[in-house]
Amino acid sequence: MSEEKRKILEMLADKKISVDDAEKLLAAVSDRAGEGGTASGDASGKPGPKYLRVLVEPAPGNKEGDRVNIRVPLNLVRAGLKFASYIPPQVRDKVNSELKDKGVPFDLNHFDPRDIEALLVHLNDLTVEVEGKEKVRVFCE
Amino acid sequence: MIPLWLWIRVEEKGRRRLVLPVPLILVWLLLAAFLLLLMPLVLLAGLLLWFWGWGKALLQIYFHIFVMIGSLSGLKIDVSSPVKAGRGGREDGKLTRIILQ
Repeated sequence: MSEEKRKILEMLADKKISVDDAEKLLAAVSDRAGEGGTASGDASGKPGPKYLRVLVEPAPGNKEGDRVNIRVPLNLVRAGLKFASYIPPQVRDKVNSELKDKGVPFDLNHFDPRDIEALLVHLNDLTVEVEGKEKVRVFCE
Repeated sequence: MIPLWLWIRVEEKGRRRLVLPVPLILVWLLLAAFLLLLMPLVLLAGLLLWFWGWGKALLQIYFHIFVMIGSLSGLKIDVSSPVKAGRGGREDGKLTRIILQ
């Protein structure tokens, strides 16, 4: 059994992901192993997302706000996230404490570059909408 | 694929006002020259700092810069600002678009 499949099953056993999510992830890992390529696409053979889109629009009734439309290549997101794994252990504790002070309970010691692919598979279906003065949508395409 | 052009477009009310193609290849050439000059120093620093745990990270970050540059292609940023909002609702006035391709 590959390390990735074992990791997915461990996440399922720890109830960090649902059975459906685990099935999707296992299918993605199997596809990638079969193709010998990178992780893109899902079990249905549909091509995977290439871009992360962030749309900011003024809320209905707000006529003055700017509209912002950002398209970020997922390869750039991957590369950026991998930077976190290069942080030396001595610095991670400092970064963790700074993040905690800012109210972000994120532990870099538990950050694994292999989780990036799992995260990106899930981003395929993600749509976040924040209503307020502005409406923010984050999704992949 | 490394982006070769940076396009900056500024339009106002549908009329094209500014289209500025910036040849990024010139920037990359300068950056590549700078990074190559820096390489011996990075390798030396990496070797010296290896046993403190910083060397490997330093080398990885150095080579990761090239990966980041190669991943920039396709980045697009659009910002549209409204003209003075009237009773008819919102009307987009100025559109600023930045594309790396």
